[in-house]
Amino acid sequence: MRSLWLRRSGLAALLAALMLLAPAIQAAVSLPASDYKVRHGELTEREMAVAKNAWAYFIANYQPSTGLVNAVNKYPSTTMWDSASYLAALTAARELGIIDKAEFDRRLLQFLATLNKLVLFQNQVPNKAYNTITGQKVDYLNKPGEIGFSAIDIGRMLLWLKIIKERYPEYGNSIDNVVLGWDFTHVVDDCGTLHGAYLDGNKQPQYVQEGRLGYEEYAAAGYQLWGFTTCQASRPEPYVLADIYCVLVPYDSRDPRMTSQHNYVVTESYLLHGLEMGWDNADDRDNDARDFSHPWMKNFADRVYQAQENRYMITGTLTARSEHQLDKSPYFVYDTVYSDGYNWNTITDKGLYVPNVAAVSLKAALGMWVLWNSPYTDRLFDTIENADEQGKGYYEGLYENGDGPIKEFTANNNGIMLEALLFKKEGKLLRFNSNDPRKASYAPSMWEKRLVDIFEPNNSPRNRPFPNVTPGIKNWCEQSGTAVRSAPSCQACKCARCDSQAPVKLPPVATTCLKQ
Amino acid sequence: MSLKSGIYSARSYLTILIGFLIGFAIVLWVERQMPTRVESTDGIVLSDSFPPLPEARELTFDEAVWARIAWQYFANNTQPNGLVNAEAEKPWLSLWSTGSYLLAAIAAQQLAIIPEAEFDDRIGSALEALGALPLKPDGLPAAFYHADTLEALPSAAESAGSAIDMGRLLMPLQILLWRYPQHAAAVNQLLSRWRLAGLLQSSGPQGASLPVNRWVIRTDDPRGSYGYRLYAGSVLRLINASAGLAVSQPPDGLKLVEIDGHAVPDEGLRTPWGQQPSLISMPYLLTGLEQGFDARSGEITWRIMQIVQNRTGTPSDAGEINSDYAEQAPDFVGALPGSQPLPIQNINDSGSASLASRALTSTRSAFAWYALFRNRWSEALRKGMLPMIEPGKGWKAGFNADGSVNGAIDADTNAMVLESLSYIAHGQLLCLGCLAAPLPAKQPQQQGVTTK
Repeated sequence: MRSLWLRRSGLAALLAALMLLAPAIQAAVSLPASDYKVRHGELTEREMAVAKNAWAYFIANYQPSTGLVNAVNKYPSTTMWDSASYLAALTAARELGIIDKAEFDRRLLQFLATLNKLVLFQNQVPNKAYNTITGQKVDYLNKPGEIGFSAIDIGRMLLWLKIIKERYPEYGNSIDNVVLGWDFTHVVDDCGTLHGAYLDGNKQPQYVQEGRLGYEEYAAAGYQLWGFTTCQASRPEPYVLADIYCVLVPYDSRDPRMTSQHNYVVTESYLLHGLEMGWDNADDRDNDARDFSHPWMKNFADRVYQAQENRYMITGTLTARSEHQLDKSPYFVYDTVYSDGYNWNTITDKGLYVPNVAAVSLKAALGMWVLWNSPYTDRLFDTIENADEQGKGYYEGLYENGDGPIKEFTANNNGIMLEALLFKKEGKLLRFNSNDPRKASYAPSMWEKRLVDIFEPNNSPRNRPFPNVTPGIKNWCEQSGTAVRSAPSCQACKCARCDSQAPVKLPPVATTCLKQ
Repeated sequence: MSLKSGIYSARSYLTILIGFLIGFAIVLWVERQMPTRVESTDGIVLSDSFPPLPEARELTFDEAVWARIAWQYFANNTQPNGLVNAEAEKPWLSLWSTGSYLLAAIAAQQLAIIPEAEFDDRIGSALEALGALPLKPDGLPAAFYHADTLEALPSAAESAGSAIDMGRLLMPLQILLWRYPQHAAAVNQLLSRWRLAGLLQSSGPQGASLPVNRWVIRTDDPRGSYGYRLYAGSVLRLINASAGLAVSQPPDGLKLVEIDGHAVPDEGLRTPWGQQPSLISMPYLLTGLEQGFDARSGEITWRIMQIVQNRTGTPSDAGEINSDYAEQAPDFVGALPGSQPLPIQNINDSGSASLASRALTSTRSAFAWYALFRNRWSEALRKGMLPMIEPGKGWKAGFNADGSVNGAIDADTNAMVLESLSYIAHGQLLCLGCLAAPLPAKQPQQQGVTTK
């Protein structure tokens, strides 16, 4: 009895000591969002119904002639970004048991064949748009022609090709063949900056830095997975912070007026990194969905989430923002948390302010639902769960002003919804199933075999990365008698101004709201 | 003489002595059974257990959001004339609710929820609208107004002013004079329109006691009790020469009741069954948040808190005790043009009827306890109020006695949430010492630690 009492008092003393320590521990303000867990577990009936409804889009918009899927309902055109969303949907449909392996294989075989045969932009990388019926490269009006390439779209495609290659090694060679056919000379430079291309007035290609905070780093992760160094693109700088409902939200500080690229902050880029990369570094082979090895992506994602939850709590407007299509003019908007100098800016790509088409984006809502388990995201789920049409998939969004659904259907929206549901079941979507290249018994893929081979003629002309010669690869080279490419000059010599090892200092999450 | 015969002969004396002893015993026993003697009001002094007042600190992230949720009520319910509905989407107001609004605006400005310019704009137009209120014949504003048209609402006691409500309104006006002198001229102009002396009326000689003025309080005023008088009296005493005596004279019917060993003022609210003991914490909490505690209000608050705290979590047969209640709105709908007029008695006879049935674990008092006495109990109480957030609208009133949610959203609740959070960050609202430039941040003193 007495000893029990003593133990209790000892416990009490410990608790008291902890309570004294507590203020010191809490000194750094953190967001509630950083304490919300990701959702994990088998799908419930309701969630499974959502997955099936979303898959309906990919049944309705499948093009048997090419294996591609229309990016927008009934409009036979697509991009690399939207095709990656299709790969996400296809993977989720198989893993969730909506389609069987046979259906998956039939679709993927044809898709990869088409992808391998695509006529590239100036023989470099895929054009911005392709016709989904003919497979021809097209301009913005879906007329045959070429318009340039998007490093961001290609980054997402690279990421999904890597996910498929790791999940289903039987497709490894086909996928490697696709990427080996691409020429990255103008896409990634020595400092790891990503460049897109467009045609100027004289039909000459112009290569310009592409990507803003969020999207830039998300796309860079795709390149990193294939061995590219993306130092400059992967760094958060340059950014500044906007105080939005007490949250300091980072946005890209490159001036949209000078660069004609909007610095929009939306949910999508952060949530895709969370779903696919698990907010991990590209070289993190751990599948646990609850640790986040990327130095700042989770932190920034929390801010973007928290600003939206706070907006709902304070103003009552359900908020889940992303770029999205419209069923009426101007047909496409950046519906942002922050863009071009203003909070909650909704703009067209020309920069026109169109607040009336702000909407709850379904892909953003479901992505937030799975990555942040909170009462707020429960409400989002309840709101969007039945916003679909039989046989067409989910609506693009629900207008914030109460005008009802955006009656447009897209591959990106339905694809991201499906991958969010798969995340709930399986966690981080990138799963390294092929054996570990750090081990001596490692069997390299075709991509790696070519990249280390000194006699492979295309390595330098196509600006392929120089792979890290791990023991496994070295072992393979010795066994197969492959002469190893000599390492290029050191990274620091190639690019002095970017150090990919430089530590990232996280800025405070809130200031003025709390100050005394 | 044997002892036996001695006792026998002294039997009458012994009987008397035994009788005395029994008598004493009875007296002592009866004394024990009597309630502990109640103290007089002057005798309420800080008890030893009274906790040190909390240091001002930065808000937490959640608190900053809660404050903004509360402010949203005022953002939503501001009328074009600059005043604010007392209840969400119901266009009526009282002097009390307007006082709440002005205090909320001051707290919001202090918490950097609204910028300086918006604050000045809001205060300016509110003061102007107050100056435009139609007055009763005695030169005082009525008890209730339509918030949109600023016409007076009918009240059961048309002639009576509302000293308590006026006291509430004078509080923010006084803060404006001290802390926001850019509005002093407007406040002065407003006060010059009102015959505040009419709030205190000569009672004439009362027996041998001093002929002092006394309060004018509407018979239907739900806030006529001791605590509210104390609260309002602290400002009303500045009205004129005799006001100080009038408001500090113990009001009629002050009694202390002892609950769980703590003597607290019985607020003596009338119910259909006569006066029933009631505890009301609101006025004391408001005093703490706005003017800072004095020994009396601080001690009473502390005692009430201990009572409520003791009763929290005890078996239900001990009886829950609440220290707040749901207030009832005037029937402004019945007074709208074109609607069926109601007999006046029906409108306001519910002023303090069946208080027990309206007991409320209120959001506003939870926040005030949380701000004033930071301990585990108040923390838990405040935590229990999270379901009271109504996104986009503000904070709901609280939990009814049966545990159901009282979904009313009103200015008083949301103002008190803001006042409480402002108290956490900046201390009391009327704080003259706070006007000095803050000292350079000093490190908390630690023994044995020297700083460079």
